[in-house]
Amino acid sequence: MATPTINDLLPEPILSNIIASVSDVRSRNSVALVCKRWRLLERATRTTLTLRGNIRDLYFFMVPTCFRSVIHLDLSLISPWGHSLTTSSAASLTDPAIIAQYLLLAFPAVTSLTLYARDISTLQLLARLWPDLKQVKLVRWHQRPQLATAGEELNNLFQQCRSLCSLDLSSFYCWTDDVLLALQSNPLVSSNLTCLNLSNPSFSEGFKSDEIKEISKACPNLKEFRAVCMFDPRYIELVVGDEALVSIATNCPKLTILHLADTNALLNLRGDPENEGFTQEDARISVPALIEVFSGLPLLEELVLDVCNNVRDSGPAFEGLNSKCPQLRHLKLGQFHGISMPVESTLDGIALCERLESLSIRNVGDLNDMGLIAIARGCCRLAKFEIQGCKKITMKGMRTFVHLLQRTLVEVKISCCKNLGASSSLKALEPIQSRIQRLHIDCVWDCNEEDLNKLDQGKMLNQSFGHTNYWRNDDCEYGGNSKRRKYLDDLNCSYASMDVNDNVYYNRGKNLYDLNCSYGEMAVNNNGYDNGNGFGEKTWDRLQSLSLWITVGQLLTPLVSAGLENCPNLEEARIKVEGDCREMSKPSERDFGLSILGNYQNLSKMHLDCGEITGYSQTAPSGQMDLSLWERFYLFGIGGLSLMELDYWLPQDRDVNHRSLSLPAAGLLQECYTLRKLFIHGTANEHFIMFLLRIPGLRDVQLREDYYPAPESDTSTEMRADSCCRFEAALNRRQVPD
Amino acid sequence: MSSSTELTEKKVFLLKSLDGVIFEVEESVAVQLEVIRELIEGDCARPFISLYNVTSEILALVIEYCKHHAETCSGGTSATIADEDLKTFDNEFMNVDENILLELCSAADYLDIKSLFELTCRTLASLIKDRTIIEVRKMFNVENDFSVVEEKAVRKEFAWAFK
Repeated sequence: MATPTINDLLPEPILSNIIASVSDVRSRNSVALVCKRWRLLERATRTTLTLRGNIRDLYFFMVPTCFRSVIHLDLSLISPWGHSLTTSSAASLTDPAIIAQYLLLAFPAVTSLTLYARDISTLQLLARLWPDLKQVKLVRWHQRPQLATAGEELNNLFQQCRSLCSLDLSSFYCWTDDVLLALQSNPLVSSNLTCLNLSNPSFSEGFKSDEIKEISKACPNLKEFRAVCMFDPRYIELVVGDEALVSIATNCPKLTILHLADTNALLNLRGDPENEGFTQEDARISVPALIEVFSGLPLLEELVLDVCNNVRDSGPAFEGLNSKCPQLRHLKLGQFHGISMPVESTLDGIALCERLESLSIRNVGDLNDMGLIAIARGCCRLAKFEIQGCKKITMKGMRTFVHLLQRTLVEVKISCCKNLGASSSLKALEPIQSRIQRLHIDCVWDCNEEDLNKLDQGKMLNQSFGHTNYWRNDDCEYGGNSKRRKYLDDLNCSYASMDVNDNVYYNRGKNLYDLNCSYGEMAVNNNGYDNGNGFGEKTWDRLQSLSLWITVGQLLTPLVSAGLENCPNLEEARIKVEGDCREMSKPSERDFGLSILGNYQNLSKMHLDCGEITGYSQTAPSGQMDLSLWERFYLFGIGGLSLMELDYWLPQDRDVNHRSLSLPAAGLLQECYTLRKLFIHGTANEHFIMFLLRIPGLRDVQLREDYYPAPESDTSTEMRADSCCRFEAALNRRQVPD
Repeated sequence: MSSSTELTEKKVFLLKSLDGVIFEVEESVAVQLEVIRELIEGDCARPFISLYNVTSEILALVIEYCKHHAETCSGGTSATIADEDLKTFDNEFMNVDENILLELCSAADYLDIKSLFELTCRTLASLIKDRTIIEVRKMFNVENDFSVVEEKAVRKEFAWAFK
């Protein structure tokens, strides 16, 4: 052979290391097919496996024995989705215990298991197999089965797996009692737990004060704790307040990650942008208690307090955070007010947490532009920023914020802010247009831009005197500080360029705030961010992932003209549509406008979430459309995008808990010729789903009912286990060109 | 060049590659080569250290890499900027053809430079990612030694693992 091959050049350990670094499953599969040596190495380094394929095949003793090094095994996505391993129709053929033995032989090294535990028998069977399990994630979207005693399932798990250290119940439908009882009756296991995730929206009310106290007492070694809590003060005795928070800090001092969220916050439903941001009642959380909590948790890296009731004047609580929790990098707060209320140039509250790298705030009733800018000045390392439900923030404020953080910021979410619709959000983000990687905006098509500008100019002029003083003071006082000096330099430099351009702003000489904004534009030009076409073409060079929220009935078509003209590297789009179409008349346009996404040439993955659309699944009243027509409205044009992966959440009829793929939808989906993976979140009739076989490259299709509560009846005409098997058999029979 | 040694009083070491070329490196660079660290610390590094497994072409690249990392880390810039700087440097540095990359990888392993080894492994892995089997075989000049039946069997196993 003329040139040396990789096999000659590299000794086994190095090659094995390289192959171990390939994470993507499909690439790994190709690696295994390169040659025999590579296959051996690939198998030896494959540590994570999500087992797909059909349960029925497991019962025909076809468990794949080639993945013996697997440590993390995921059995939650096996087909047909959501069926129990032990009670499916095929289970009658063989004793489930034998299958379990086969699983153990095939995967001897498993220490981390993800399991769809629809009934107690599956869990019993598998927990016994791998007594050394360290991490377990249970999944269940179906109703909790009737148990002899509360907590029976988890109790069983704890008794079998004594060395358990991580338990994730974030998508496991059960009751709060189940968790607490199981933890209390197995003190040894509980005290060894380091990760506990109870951040599950199916707990309708969340954990109560006493429960939180008991859990934290039972698990003193927790490093990660996530839970959904009852923060609503109307439950007077039960509400999670100061006492419970302090008990967490006292009982679990090793915490590095603490997430406490209200059930409603976890559901992530959209609020009303007109809302002032203050709720009627205040949460039972006080500033001294927060300070006590922070002092008790010096190792904290990530903190989420997503409350749905007011925590007023909370700024002082965060002022000591920087010194009390020196490792803290990620912070998320909901309904905390007064977090940044700068007086003149003095920073306060959150703005003093200078080490933060990601910050997410929701419903801060009193946050205005100056407060926001203060955060940018203080938290100068922010790479990720999310803002939701802040009514007072304007485009100018947001733009200055973004401009101040233009060196670090790569991920931004702007949602539910009254003054920040699609085009003003995009305008605010112009300073980081060439850097930003992930973006979420709301598709609220604001009034046309000129009006907007006039409006803002007017507002700015009114405020300009105050701001002038503000910035000048700032520069004098912080003259010694290098960062401020840099800012001063920037300002000077913009003065210079202003001079050259004889800019009207400078002649006006009073609106320094405005000057700052126009400096942003200068920088865009000078640093070569602009691609030479002036302001005509807007390129978002590094944008990989775009997420959009849109209300039902609205069109997507204005998206490009709102400012997202050119996204050469956009790979993934997530669209969430929300609303009740029962109140809507027929839309005037015949389609939603998905074809507009065809402008983004690299787009290959899409999440289309219509799961929050409510409509009539059967015949709709005259003048309105039923869900099948709405599905056609949303999917129209999807064939024109060359998508490789699609996740599609079906719209629902809430009255009958019905989400089923309609004929027009199946017809439109079959036009996606390039599709490889398709996950439909809902059910479908067998003859509709068979349409999809016409897609030549389709490799992976699954119907997942992963919403609460997943429909119980598998006897309806929709996708049953048998029809699912027939479809999969048909799918796998085809020769896939690869 | 020995005069510069006296001037700055920096310790300098001589490294000899497989094909006999001698490179002069400063201590900050040399200590990154874990394999000779002991020699340096034990003061056994005179007159020069022979590295039998590395050609001059590759050794030059390795030294460039270590030099840049040593300078960036010792510079007074803040951690985040230095990080960013190293990232862009690493990206540029990895912009070479596969064969050099392979040799760099094996050199990094031999010289025991962890960061460079991980970097090359990651880069090679990303080269493999999203390529078809035939492309990968061609790129690394690997012969297909599967029979048709064997290949079919392997493909069948993937039905369990296409996620």
